[in-house]
Amino acid sequence: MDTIAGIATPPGEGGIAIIRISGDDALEVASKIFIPKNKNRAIKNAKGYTAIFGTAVDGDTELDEAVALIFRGPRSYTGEDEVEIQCHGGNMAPKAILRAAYREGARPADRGEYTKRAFLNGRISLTEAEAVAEMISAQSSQGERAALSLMKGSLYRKAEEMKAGLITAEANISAAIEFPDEAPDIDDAEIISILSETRDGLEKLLKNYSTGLAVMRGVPVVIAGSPNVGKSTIMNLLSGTDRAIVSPTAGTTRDVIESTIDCDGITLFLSDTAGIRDTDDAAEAEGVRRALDKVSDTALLIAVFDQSKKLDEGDRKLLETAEGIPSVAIINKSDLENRIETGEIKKRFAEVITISAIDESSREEIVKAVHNAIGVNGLSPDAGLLVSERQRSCVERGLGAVNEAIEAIEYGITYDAVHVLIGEAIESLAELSGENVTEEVLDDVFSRFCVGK
Amino acid sequence: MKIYKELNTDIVVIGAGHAGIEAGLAAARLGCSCVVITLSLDCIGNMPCNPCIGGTAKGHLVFELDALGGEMGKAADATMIQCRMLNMSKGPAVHSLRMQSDRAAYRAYMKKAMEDQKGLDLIQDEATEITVEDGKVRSVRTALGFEIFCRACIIATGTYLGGKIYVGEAQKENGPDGIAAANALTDSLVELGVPIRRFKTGTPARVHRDSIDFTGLEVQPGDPSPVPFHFGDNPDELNNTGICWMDYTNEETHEVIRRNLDRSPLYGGVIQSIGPRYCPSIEDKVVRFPERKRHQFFIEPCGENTEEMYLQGLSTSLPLDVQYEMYRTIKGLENVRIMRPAYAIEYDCCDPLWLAATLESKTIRGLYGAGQFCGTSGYEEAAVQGLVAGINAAREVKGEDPFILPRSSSYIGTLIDDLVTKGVQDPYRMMTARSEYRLLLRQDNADRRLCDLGHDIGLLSDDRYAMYQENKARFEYETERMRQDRIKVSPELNAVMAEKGAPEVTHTMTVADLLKWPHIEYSDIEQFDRNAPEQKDITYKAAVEIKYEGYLARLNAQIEKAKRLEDMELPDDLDYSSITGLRIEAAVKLDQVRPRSLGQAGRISGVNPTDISVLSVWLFRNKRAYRHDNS
Repeated sequence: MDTIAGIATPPGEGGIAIIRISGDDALEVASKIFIPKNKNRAIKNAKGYTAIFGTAVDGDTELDEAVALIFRGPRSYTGEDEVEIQCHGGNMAPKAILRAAYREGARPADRGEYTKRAFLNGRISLTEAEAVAEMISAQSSQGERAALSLMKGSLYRKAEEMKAGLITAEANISAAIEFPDEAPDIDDAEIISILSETRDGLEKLLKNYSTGLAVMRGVPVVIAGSPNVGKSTIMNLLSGTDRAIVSPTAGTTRDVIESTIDCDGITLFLSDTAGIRDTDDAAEAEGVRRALDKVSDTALLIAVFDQSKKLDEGDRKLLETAEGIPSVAIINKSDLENRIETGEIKKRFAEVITISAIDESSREEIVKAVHNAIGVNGLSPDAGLLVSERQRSCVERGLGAVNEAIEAIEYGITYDAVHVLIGEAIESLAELSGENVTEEVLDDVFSRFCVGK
Repeated sequence: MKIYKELNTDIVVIGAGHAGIEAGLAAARLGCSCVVITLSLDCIGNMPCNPCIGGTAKGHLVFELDALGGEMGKAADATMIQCRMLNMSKGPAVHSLRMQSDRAAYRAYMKKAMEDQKGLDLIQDEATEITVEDGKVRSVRTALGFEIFCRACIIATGTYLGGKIYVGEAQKENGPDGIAAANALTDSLVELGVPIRRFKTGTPARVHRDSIDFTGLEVQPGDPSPVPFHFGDNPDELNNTGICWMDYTNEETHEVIRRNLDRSPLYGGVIQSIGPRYCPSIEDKVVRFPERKRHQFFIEPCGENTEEMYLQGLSTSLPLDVQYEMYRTIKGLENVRIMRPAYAIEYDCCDPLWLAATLESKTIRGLYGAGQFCGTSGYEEAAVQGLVAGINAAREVKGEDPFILPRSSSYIGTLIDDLVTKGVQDPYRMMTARSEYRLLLRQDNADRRLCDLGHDIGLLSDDRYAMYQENKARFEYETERMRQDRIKVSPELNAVMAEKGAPEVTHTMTVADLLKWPHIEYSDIEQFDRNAPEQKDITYKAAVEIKYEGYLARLNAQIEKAKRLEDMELPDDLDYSSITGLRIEAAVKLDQVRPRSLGQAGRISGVNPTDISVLSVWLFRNKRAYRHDNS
């Protein structure tokens, strides 16, 4: 089968992430994005069940140190040739390696496609496959599901709308071709106008993809700020537990504390961090370094400031690091006297709220600010959201075909070819809205799996 | 029924219409003895509807038939009175040849072709019964007392099987053109368990030329340079002198129709059977498109030695008085005199799911179907099925492998796959949109797609095959030449480019490079291609291949991908109900269609992707065991 790639480990933090490549050209693709340290070794010559240490690359750019595990079909999870590249966890490296794999000819794995292939190749039974699906479904939160079904409905409607337009265009062309003596001739302008409308709709869907992912998969969030500004109190306020150790003594939180919370429909993977300040304590300094690392790598930053104090060196460091990262600034301790330079904070942050974290009613304000920063509030309820890689890939394919069709008409390519392109676009949209079309295979059972499983 | 005379033959063909002709000729040419039974020897190859061969997608079928050694293309060329290539502006994949024929000459041509065929006997009689022994065809019996023992039988009964004609309230159990219907055979088929259903179709009136006032009607002549269907026929010898006319209905016409709708057997509910969606009667058009103020139609001659004119687009089943009243509201037809009234006809046919892709029955060995009997509409659709059924019957008699064309090879393969996989809800008409590979399945490459096969089967003569090979070599040479030969920049060239809206050429380019420009066709740059051969037909074909090579490469990749599933064969005797995990609905459908491959199984409605995955796992696990059992 053709070669697919995906990240097998859960999104967000983790020491190690695994990029899994499977298919006829798995070894070929992997050997282009992975250079073994030992020049005498090559992925293509490696036996099954071997590991090679080296560097993951994208062209000339080195991405990360990594280990490649080689499996040769049929002795692999999918039953095909398979390479797993283990790299450092986090968001950056695994995604970059995945992109490199796509560039070298792999395509994004559909939901559950690895399991589907394992099933097709007789590696696991249907019951086993379904058990895996149940397990995965059980992990997702109620909030996610609710949000998802809502969004799915509007996505379906959007796809249907666009498909109806394309079908009109296709029917006009069909009629003119099949019944040249009877049907009206093809009107270029009309076809292009339908296609352009579809193109705009598809582009909008793609633009909203990151928001869709946030709704579906949750958002890694880092809470950072100087010691004792109330980070842990805010985290506890959000999560409703005493997860972080809260005490009035500055520097209580020395390590990164993680917690998964439901923020009114959106899952947040919260990391509390050590307070950011200059320190001579070696252990605390390490904590600060990690905190700043996390800030620069997060999807969303909640930066916390103390209203009763002027901005200190640690605060300023945070302001600098926050540059360009989607973030919310919380000016805490509104119950105390206002000494902070609010103007400077507002210069750097789009979302700034002033609260008192010991007042439980301020949770609502924080949630609203977080939703704004993720972009959920800006979405109209009928926007339609893409929430999976499979859907994104359908939209991209559809958009590609629509663009090609428009170009073809403008270039004067004849309608026999244009007709085929519009057909391709309709097919991708049918797949997007989950209809059973010729190309769509085995999605029924397997769409419940995560990409990596 | 008493038997007076027994005969023996390899293959019996019931019917000598467009399906029966190709079936009989193919079987006989492949060395089988063959008896073709027809209700009337004067009606062999009759065109009861439009006197024309070809049209969109149908033209493709005729070219494909010709490349496999069929007869229809030759007959059309020989009896042509007008020829047009349709869809010239819409791209080479949908260029479609359409020929008006002299229908009397066409019948005479086909009768002679069959009479001259060695091994083929024509008998005028009515087949009334098919006998079967041990699940295999044994003989065909006739109304006058023949019993013809045979090893295979092809049913190509067209609209004559149980035919019933409706003209308004008037009804008559009859086939078209005054030939009696065949009423006995259906009972025999029902007894044999053949799933029989009833379809309907219709035709417009034939009117006298003298009664039409052609003044002011738009003339539609043939193309300036006619093209033959048959590879090897000389274009200069084609008769392209026929003239057709275009005309329109008007609101008064529509008013007459609306006022009398209750007298239509269709709208009045007398006819319940299903007609072809893509061939609506004029009352259908008026009802379905109430906003249209007029409908176009064509006035076409039925031949050179007759004054009968065919009104293409005005088919109706309204009563005679309404036919007169309605036609006479139309400009030019104010005094029209009807010679053959328009009618609707109901007939018996089978559910094609009963057939395998060879067109052989899945329940009775040696019994085949072709043409309207299998639920299609159209002469060309019938002819290609006749050819495939004839070839397969002959191969079965000779103990050879079945002949099945994949969808990616041809419209013929697509048509038969659609019939036997999806079944039909209304008479099936071929359309280019039915093929997912339509950019590859063009008229201009029909020979390159199918001549090798035609020769392998044994229907394409060595001479004809040698001609094809020579053309193929020329084609390959031309393609390569156009990639090499360069055209220099010149003011003349840039004048052409500018005129076509293409960008200015600034450096020497190959012919192929220039062809890749939008708007540029080979005819535009022909004058600059100095090394082109005198004879340009092949050059034009090569230019198409070059201009579309990007799209074609993509389609070829899709075919490769699909081939994996097409190559996964399902055993004939697979007991679907025994496969665990398969839904009952899917098992029932699969059992009914009995697909030969996983690819075909995936196209059955009611079989979903999960079922395919279950099947594929079953195949994977049982391949070994299955092979073992059968070795």
